[in-house]
Amino acid sequence: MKLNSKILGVIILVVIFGGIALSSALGYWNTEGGGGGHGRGSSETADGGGNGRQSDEFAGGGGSGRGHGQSGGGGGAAVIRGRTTFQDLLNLGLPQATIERVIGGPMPDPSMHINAYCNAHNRDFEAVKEALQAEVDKLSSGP
Amino acid sequence: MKLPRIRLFRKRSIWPRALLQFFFFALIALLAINHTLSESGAGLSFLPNVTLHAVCPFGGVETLYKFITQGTFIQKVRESSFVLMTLVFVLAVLFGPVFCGWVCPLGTVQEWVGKLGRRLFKSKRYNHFIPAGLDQVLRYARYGVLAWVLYITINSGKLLFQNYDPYYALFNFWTGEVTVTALVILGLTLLLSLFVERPWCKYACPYGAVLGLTNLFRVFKIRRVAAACRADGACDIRCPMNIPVSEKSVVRDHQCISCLECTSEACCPVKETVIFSAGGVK
Repeated sequence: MKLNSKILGVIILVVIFGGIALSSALGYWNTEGGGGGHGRGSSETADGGGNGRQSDEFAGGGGSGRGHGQSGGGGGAAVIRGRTTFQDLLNLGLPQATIERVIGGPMPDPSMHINAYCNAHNRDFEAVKEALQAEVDKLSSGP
Repeated sequence: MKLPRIRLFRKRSIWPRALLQFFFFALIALLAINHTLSESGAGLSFLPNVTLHAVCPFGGVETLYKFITQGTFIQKVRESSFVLMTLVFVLAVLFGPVFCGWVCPLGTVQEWVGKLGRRLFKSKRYNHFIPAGLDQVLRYARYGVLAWVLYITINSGKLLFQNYDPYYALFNFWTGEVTVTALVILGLTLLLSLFVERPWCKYACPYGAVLGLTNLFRVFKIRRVAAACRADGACDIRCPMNIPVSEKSVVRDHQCISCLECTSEACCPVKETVIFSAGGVK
């Protein structure tokens, strides 16, 4: 049985997107992680308690997702990125104690980028970012 | 009397492959850009907001050990990676590493840069700079990279390879989350692509190492009908992975990426001589 490139191309598309559709229908297609049902407001440290799905993700369930809106109180700097520094967090009004709780240790030089801190301490930046973002979001939503 | 110029071969385009390569490159680029935009609340509504890790099948390979031993995934790896890993493996068992040749955006970018190199150095010189003996040894380096990646991932429970991964760097260089090491490796890969086709795939890609093993037992194979072969070497010259197709009856080389560029549909001047088929050749 011979195949040409057109048929092979179609088969590749069908297998990949058909497989995604099928797995989605069966409930196996999950791009957000967080199978354990942690909400964004979880106060766990970024990598506390292990690395599995149950502990290191902060998926938003059906709520806020990852598309964070701008903070009302913090102006345009309320979204944490790789170049966000610890000083930026303090400026947003996040207490140092909260930051230390999230990162699971003493806060470094405030001018340090969060991403650089994660790299230096072998931490998962995505998870730390999500946890800090959750704290920042709490601030902006107010009491 | 002026003699007619004889052309050894006229390359025909495997356009479905080029189309799929562009499609998957654009898709991954859009997803990566959308993820960045979504962080500032400006994401594109028609695209899902997913991380690059969620749509990378190699994440599934990296987390396999943890999944088997503990039933959980390593950091950042999603169930979607696991699904994609399975789908790509099914494709590889049937057709070989078509993911590498038809889907992987990093391979596509290397090919695009390689087109410039091919123009600069012409077809016979391009992709033949590295001495054959050294090249053959280097081809096995990617198994070393694979072993190292699995070792550091299993030991740490984290995607540490991200700090070295040119694929991650390619689609995240604007985020500030990419290490200098990964950017340097990406830069070197693109630079080397001017001289060698798909240098990352040939010498360093850990996922290519995994998928390449399926060349040993895949169902559909590249086959050469020796009786019809003119042995003009066109297939050897066109093969991006430098496989001497004209010396084989069935290509089982661990580096084949099933790009079909060697077949009679592309460069071979004789019909039905180099074909992609299951079962024997009549």
